[in-house]
Amino acid sequence: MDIDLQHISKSYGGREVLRRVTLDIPSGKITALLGPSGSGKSTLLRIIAGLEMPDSGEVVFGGRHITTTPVRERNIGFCFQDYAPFRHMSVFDNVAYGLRIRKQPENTVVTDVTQLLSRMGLADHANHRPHELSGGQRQRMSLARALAIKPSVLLLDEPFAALDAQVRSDVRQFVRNLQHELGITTILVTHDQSEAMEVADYMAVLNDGVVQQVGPPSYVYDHPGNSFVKTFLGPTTEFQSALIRPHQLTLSHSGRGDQGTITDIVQLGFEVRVFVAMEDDSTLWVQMTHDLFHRHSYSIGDKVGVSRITANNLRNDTVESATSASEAHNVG
Amino acid sequence: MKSRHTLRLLVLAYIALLIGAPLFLVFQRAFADGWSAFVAAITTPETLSSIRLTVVVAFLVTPLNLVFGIAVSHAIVRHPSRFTKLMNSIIDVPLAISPIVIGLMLELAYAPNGWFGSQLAAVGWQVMFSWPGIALASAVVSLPLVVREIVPILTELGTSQEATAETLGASPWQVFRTITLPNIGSAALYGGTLTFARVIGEYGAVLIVSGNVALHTQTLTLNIAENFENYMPQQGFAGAALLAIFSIVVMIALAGIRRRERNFHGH
Amino acid sequence: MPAGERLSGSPRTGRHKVTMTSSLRRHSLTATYLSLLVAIPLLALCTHALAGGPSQLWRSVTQPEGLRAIGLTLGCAALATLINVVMGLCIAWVLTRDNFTGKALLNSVIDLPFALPTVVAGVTFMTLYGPMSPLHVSLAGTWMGIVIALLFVTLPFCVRTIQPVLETMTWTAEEASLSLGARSSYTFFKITLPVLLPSVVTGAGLAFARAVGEFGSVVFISGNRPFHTEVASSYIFMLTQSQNFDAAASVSLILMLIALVTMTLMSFISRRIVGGVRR
Repeated sequence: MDIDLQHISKSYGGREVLRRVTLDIPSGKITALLGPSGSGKSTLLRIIAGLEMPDSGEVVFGGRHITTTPVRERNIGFCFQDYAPFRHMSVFDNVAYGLRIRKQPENTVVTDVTQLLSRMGLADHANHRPHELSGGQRQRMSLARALAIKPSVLLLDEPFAALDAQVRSDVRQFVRNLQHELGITTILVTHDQSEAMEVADYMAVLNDGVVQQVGPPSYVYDHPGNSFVKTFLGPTTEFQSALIRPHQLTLSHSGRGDQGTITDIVQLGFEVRVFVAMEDDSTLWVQMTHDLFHRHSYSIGDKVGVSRITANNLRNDTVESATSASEAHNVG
Repeated sequence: MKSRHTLRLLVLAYIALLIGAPLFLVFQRAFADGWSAFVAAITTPETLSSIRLTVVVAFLVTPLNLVFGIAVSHAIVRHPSRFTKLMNSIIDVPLAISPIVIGLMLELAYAPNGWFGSQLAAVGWQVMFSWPGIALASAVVSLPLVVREIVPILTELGTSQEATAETLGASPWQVFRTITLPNIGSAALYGGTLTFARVIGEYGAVLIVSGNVALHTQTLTLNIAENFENYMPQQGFAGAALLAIFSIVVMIALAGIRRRERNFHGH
Repeated sequence: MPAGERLSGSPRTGRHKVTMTSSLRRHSLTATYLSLLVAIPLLALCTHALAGGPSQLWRSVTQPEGLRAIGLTLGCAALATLINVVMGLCIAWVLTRDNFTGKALLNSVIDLPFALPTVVAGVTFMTLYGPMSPLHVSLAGTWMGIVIALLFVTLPFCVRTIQPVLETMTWTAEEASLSLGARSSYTFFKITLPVLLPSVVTGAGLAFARAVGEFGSVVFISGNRPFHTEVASSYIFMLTQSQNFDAAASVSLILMLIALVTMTLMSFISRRIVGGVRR
């Protein structure tokens, strides 16, 4: 089911949190609402859910205006950042809650919930209390509970933020696979751009209550519409008075390009960052692979030339490094 | 470390003298002449009647203040406004003022020639110098107890569980019944027990509003006091020991509720 | 939750403001209960206190017997609070930082004065420290007897406000102080105490308010001798029994105001001294 947001505005105590936000959420896909704290993304999610009412604007679900419909009549699934487990109920009762509210016959409830718990890998924990589960398991329980009622849209508020880094990537994959299997329209709020890029099919970047850009994540990354989006989605550095991605710069020991001196080198395993103080007193940094860095043996204090990577200087790079490698070989 | 030992000794001596000695004395005097004398002392018509009155009032007032306490706590935490803040301050008043003043306030408002009392007297209701007055005074002095237990629990509970239940289709009443109430159950039980104990033990306020007529409007606390004033210390101590036993049972119950709450939520 | 977001358990329509009158309607039942129990009696008290105008209020309060009663009450309450602030701190310290058999029992016993009916405490103290006392003292009819009774009833407040703070404290600042060469006592007064001060003051405020209004536990041992051992609550009681309602209300009002002013003053002072120390 597709969702239309039309000119949604919301203020809290004089502060405008959302300003006439208009957005079309595609049906059956995962859409990320990405932005920094205070951008209004969580508020927007809550308005879609019906937990808040907009000051003006309309929320349309599949053609129906539901702006004033109370949350319990919208048939949505909502997962809070803290998973909001019903601490006093077992995992089974948590997941069965929505079905029992709808007075579904108990025998079908048992079948449905048992099936769902197996699918989510929680079958062994059906009779446990939420506090006995790990973070990842609690997250899956929260998902199962929301999905049990077969909602028309799934809303996730920073679902991975509370998980350990290792668990996080596993759960992200899990959610992505689950959504592809079920085909349910999913909206996910996050402040982590790598998360949006990894999980979402479609992305809306928000800042200060305004939608900055929408589109598939890779497209938005490669074609940022403004400097905010460019800076928020990935590393940037300033070169020739323009914002550019550090991995689009290259260094050379021969005089080619703008001149500068290397001031610092940070090695991060696969990635190496080389900080250069330019002759015009600006500083920038260049991102390169571990291999490339070691082939050219850059050190602090080297005078280097900085230029944008093109097909040409890529070839020259290889020649240059081959030369210095054979020189090193002759000396050694 | 020597200073640690001296501190420990100081504390133990202080507690023993201040709390231990009086407690010991109560039981020693009550049972000085043996168990049967004790039983005889607490089963005189006056004492039995006072026990009955006290217990009936406690069982009347406690559920009333529980229901009120839960409702008002919910209002204060979930629907904050200037009005609920005002209610919150008013609820705390009985904690800060003397029970004698509370008794006075109630008498001024509800005595037959008082403010409100004159309206009620016209309808034939007598509040002062009868058991409704005692119930009223007991309700006032124990008013804050349930609220102060439940408000922190409700605040800590947060709204996400309740909001989730709503997204799953529950009506406000269903949310309250299936999510809110189970989570405040322990706190309500704790506050209710405190209320019950407070009502049983109230003296100053009921002294003023009751008229203190034995066999009719005398609570157990008033009964104990009267026995002492009439130079019947044996009687008095028997009643006092009964109340002391009751207090100890209450404290054990409260500790049990606290412990069960900790295990329940796996903290 | 991001700053500025409103926690909402139910949809807020956001299209009408929450006003006093709409709040009143929503909470009408609880508001009625509260009015009947507290608001109306409080109002009745104030009207009676000011019935004869401020001059009559002044006259009631400055009766010699009344002044003595108020003075005695404030003095005993202050002394008892002071002693229990120190002892409460010691007890809370031992309960959280020391370990010995019977500590759990000690912890439970602290609540007894709070759970025990005042009249039980009153007659017991009368017997323990009065004539025919097994301890061979006779403090009945003296201010010392009153203070001891007040120590009993106010102890739980002084311990239970400090205890949770001590239990959840991290001691890294103290360890830093010791590593810099400071002595334990210096560390305690300069580092630990300022952090504890707000809870100490809260406990003292609760204790003082309770002590000022205490009746049941002091009325027996005090002997109620006017001008000597009559506490304020007994004085008010005496006025009530003699149908002197306006005077009783006046003295009650003044007593409440004094307690209120004292507590406000104490929290103000504590905030000034500590200046927002947070841990």
